[in-house]
Amino acid sequence: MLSLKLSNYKIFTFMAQNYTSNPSHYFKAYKSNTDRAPKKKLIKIKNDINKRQLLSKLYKNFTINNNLLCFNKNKKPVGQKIVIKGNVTDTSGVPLKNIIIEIWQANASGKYRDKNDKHDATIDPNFYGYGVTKTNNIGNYKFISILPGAYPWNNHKNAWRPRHIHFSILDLNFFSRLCTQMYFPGDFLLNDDPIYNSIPKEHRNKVIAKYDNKKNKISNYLTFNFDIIL
Amino acid sequence: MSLYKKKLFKTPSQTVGPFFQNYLKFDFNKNISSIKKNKIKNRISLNLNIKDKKNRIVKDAFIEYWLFYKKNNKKIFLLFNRIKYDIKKKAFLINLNEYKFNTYLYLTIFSRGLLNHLHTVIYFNDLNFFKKDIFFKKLPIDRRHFMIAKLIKFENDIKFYKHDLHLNGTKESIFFYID
Repeated sequence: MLSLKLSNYKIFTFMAQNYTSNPSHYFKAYKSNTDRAPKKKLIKIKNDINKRQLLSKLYKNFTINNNLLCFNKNKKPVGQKIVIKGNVTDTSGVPLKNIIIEIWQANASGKYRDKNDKHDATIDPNFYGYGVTKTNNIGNYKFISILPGAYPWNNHKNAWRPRHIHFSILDLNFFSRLCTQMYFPGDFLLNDDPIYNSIPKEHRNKVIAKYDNKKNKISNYLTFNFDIIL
Repeated sequence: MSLYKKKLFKTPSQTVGPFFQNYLKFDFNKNISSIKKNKIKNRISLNLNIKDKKNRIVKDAFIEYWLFYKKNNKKIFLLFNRIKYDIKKKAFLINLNEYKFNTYLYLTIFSRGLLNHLHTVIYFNDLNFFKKDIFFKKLPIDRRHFMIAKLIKFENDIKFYKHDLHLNGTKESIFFYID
C-alpha cells in the first residue's frame, strides 16, 4: 500500500479489496457489475465528523419498530414463518444501540412487490416485505417475516438467486453505513451465486444466518440469528 | 492483560439489487436538517445523473446525501436525505439551501451492480470556496474537474446546477474510502 503524507491530511491510494471483508468493487462473474464498478483506485479520507449530532434528527423520519413485514397481523402471508434476530456491534465487539435497520425481501414464491420484477410468480396480498426497526440498549434487534423464495435472474444460464433478505443499516453517519444481504444456512444455490461469491472466501460465513431455535419463544416460527459488525 | 484488543472484521457489503424502490423510504417529507427555517436563503437545485461505462443513465440506483458546514475547523451537520431516480425529471434531484454552504456535498451511491456503495463529493462551480479547500487541492489534478457541478441558470432565488457522475469509463468520478 502506498501512502503519501500531505500537510494536514494523509491520502492513501489502495486496492479496495485489501482493507475489509468486503468484496472487491469489480467482480467479473457478476455481469451487472462490469460497466458500473469503478476501475480507478479509491482515495482514503479520514472520519472527522461529530456523528452524535445526527441521531435524534434521523429518528423523526423513520417509522421505527415496524418489524412485522406483513400488511396485517390478522391476515397471514403464505410461507414458513420466521424470526430474524441479532446483535449489532462495532469492530471491538461493543454493542451499538439505536442503529436503524431496514430490511426488504421477496415473498415465499420469490416475487418482489415491484413492477420491474418479471419473475413468473404470484404477489402475496398479505405480505409487504419491508420492515424497519432500531437496536435496543444492548444492540439487539428482531424482525418477524416469512422465508423468502429463491428466484431466477439473467446473470448466466439457469441462474437463480439463493434465498436472501436485504439489510440496510444506518448508523449515526455514513462512515459505518452498510447495505448487505442475509442468506440462509444450507442453501445449495449459494455455490453458484456470483454476488455471494464476490465476498472473500474466509468472510462468506458472516452473511449466512445461523439457525437458532433454542431460545425461540414464539411457536411455529423458525428462528435465525444474524449478527452484524459495523 | 494485553492492551491489544483484537478487531473484528466488518460484515461484508452486498449489492442492494434492483428492487429497493418500493421498499426503502425516500424523499423524507422534510429533509433531516438542522437548518432553522428563518435562516434559509438562496436555494440550490442540482440535477444529477449517474452514468455507467457506456454512458447509459443508471436509473436503478439511490443516493444518500449529507451536508455539513465548517465552524472552527469542525464539521457541523446540516442535512441528510435519500433520493431515487425521478422518472419525470429524468435525473436525481437534490434540493439544498445555500445557507452556510461553505463545504462540499457528500454523496453515497447505492445501485444494482455495485457490490459496495460508493462515497464521493460534489463542489459547485460558482461557489469559489472549493479553490481554497485543502481536500480539493489534494484530489488528482487530471480528474478534479469531474467533481464540480455547473451552474446552468438562476431563477426565483434558485440556482440550478447540472452534473453527471461517471461510475466507470474515461470520465470516471473520484470515489473515496473512509477510515
